[in-house]
Amino acid sequence: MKAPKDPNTKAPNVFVEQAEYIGDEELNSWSASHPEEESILAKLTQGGAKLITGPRGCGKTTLLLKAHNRLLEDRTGGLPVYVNYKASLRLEPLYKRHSNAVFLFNQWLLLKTYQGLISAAKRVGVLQSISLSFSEHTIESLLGRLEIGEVALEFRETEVLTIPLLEQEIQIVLESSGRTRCILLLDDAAHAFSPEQQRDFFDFFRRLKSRCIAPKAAIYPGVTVYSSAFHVGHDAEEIDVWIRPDDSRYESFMKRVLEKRLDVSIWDEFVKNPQLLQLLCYAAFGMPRSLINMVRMLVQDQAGVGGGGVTRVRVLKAIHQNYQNTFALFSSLSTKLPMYANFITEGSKVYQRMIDGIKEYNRSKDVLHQSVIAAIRQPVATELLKVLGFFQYSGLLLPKGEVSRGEKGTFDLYVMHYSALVDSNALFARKSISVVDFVQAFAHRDPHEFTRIGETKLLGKERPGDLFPLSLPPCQKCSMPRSSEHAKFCHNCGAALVEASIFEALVEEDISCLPLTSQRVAKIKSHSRIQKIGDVLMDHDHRQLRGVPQIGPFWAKRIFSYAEEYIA
Amino acid sequence: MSWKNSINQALGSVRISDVAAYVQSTPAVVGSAIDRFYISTRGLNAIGIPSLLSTSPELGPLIFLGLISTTENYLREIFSATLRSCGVAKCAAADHSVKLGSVLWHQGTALELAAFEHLSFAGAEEIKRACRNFLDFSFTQTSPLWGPLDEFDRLCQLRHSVVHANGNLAGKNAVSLALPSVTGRLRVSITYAQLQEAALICTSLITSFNTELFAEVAKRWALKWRELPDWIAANENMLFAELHGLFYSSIDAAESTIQDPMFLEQCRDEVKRTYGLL
Repeated sequence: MKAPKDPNTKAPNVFVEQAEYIGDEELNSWSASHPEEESILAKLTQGGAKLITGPRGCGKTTLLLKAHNRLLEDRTGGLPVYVNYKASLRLEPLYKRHSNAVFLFNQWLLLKTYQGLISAAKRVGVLQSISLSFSEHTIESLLGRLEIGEVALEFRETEVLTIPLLEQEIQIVLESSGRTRCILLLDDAAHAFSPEQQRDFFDFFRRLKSRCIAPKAAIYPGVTVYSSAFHVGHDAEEIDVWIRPDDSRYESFMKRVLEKRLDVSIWDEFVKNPQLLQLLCYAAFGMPRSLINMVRMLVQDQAGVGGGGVTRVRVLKAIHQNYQNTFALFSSLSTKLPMYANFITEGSKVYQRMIDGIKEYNRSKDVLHQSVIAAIRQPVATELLKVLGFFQYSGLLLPKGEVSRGEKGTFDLYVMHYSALVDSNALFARKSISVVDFVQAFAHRDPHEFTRIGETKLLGKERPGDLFPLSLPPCQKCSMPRSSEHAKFCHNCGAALVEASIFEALVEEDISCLPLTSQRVAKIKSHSRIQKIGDVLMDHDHRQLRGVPQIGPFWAKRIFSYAEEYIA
Repeated sequence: MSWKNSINQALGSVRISDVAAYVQSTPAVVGSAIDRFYISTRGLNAIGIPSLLSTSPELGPLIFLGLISTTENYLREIFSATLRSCGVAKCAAADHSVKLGSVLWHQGTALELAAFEHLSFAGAEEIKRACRNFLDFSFTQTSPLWGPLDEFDRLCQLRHSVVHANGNLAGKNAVSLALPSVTGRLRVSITYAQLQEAALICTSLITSFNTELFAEVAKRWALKWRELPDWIAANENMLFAELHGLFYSSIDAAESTIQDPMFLEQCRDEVKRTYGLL
């Protein structure tokens, strides 16, 4: 696979943010080594079930693909099968209207894995010499039918794929390729917005695990729901790949990410401003994708670095935008998990109070004693834990374990997003902070400095249950509000309560929710039939998008990937 | 004084004073089996409210049994109704014996019920077997019935413990449910959340079963019934109306929850069109 080309330079676009859209060559030449890369890759390329966790953009896909490429090169290693389950939410509507949705979703998971197996057999050069039960074409056709919900009632018995059959086929590929173990690298697994699918995925994952199959799955922190039979630790080891900004190797790693990607002239421009570069690295908060995004803003915003230059004002603007983008991911959960809409609204206030608390604490502290950590006393209310989980999913909060303070209690520690701290002047609690001070505070901070914030300060005097009511739709027949989140039948009229499909709600969203300028959105709407997210996803060949002025193949692909990302 | 009487109280002779008082005559059955299922389930849901269940935890498992029982009852009713009207099912059931007591009691009025009185429907395998043996109706894992049956089977594992062991989970049921082993005993605990979920699983099974069996019998009406010696072409519409009535839910129709609402004639014509009769 080749990376998309930049429309102006015709060179591979160095600002492609997601690893799955980067070609193999670029993946090797562009990506820097994660500080724990060797140990992580060892776990990803050897036996045993593993779950790699981290928020969006922290490098999960890059690590899976690196493991994949390493195994491909090592002929004595395991057979790498890379599968991306990003489209799984397309199956979610089946759960709302088809009684056999679990079977159908399992078929989809098996078919996607089988598709990965065929691709792996091709990559190791054995596909022509073996005979598999399903052809590539059949698999694609079945997947296509499942993804549009067409096969609901017409799935033929001969088309049914089972785990034993998949194992048998894997064995055929293993034997012909001379490898002893299959390493399944399952990306974008356990979709964050569909708990039922998450549970079914983990049952599938558990059943896949065998002597010769080692599944590895990438999941999100804070929002993952496991099935009752799945036990983290016992069924799979968790590997947290979110790079800690207080790691001594952090800064050099982030710099390498840029150095490897950027053109020498652009990189030199950043090197000339070492403190601004350091600040950008810290503001990325362990997410290489955020760093690339901020640099893209700086480079492309004003016709290149030369145009606007790497200045303090522009860097702070990019950091502000980075915080807005990260927070937007959190806010979007109110649409993607509508039941928790109040958690998101109130959660925004909670986050601000955490920042305010830290700001207050930092007011009287010198540069080496600034706090970036909020400490919340245990026990933490279930509702607040849920909100903190959503913060972790979005990358706004990094858990840092717990600390005991004797009689004062035990506290859960959470590092606040550095972009949020910079943007809110939470360090030093004053305006016009010098870049040197920011960098000093982040680079040389005292790990014992943290801000204790009581639950009352975060939530006020209301009971958590009252502050975070679940947003449950009323009975569709008599409009009576639901009595409880567990209600499946209306307590007034007795009718079964209907749950709306998240996927169907998301594809109905206006395209203005994509990260596009309002001018571009207006142009797309007036020059094509595209109005909603679903319209973009239906435009497979990008014909509609290409008909819009100033949208060529590069931007068409980019907008399509934005839409895919929105539902992923 | 006897050492035998030293361990518990003695209550003397106790007997059922009037067994007839334990039963009640009900009017003849009207409407479809699925509507009767809905009425029973709603009655049970109406008493299974959170406040009552939290103050009386013994109530949850008892209502839970009611849900399983009403599900089994639907199956018995729809099986006997199908057996009464479908020649293909009659052929399949012909070799099976019935209990004489059941025949004598029903005296020809609801003789088909006798065939299922001694059968349990509390389990997926039992239901599949009865479908095969009495209705000539088989289905595979690709069927929309498969998933709901699996889930119902899990409920039945719990039911077993409530009925036979005062809620203490038996080892074989725990293993079937893939529960992790524990050192002490496991007890079935049914609160509001579990009761609502169980009611939904039972309802999902019954709605799927009703749809799939209707589709199968309608297909037989269009194809196989016409090959049977007792087929009278003039009765074609009447027979369809009868079978439609067995499965049609007036409650769903009144609540506008039927996915593709059709009048009887329209539905009949669609079936004919599907099987090339129009």
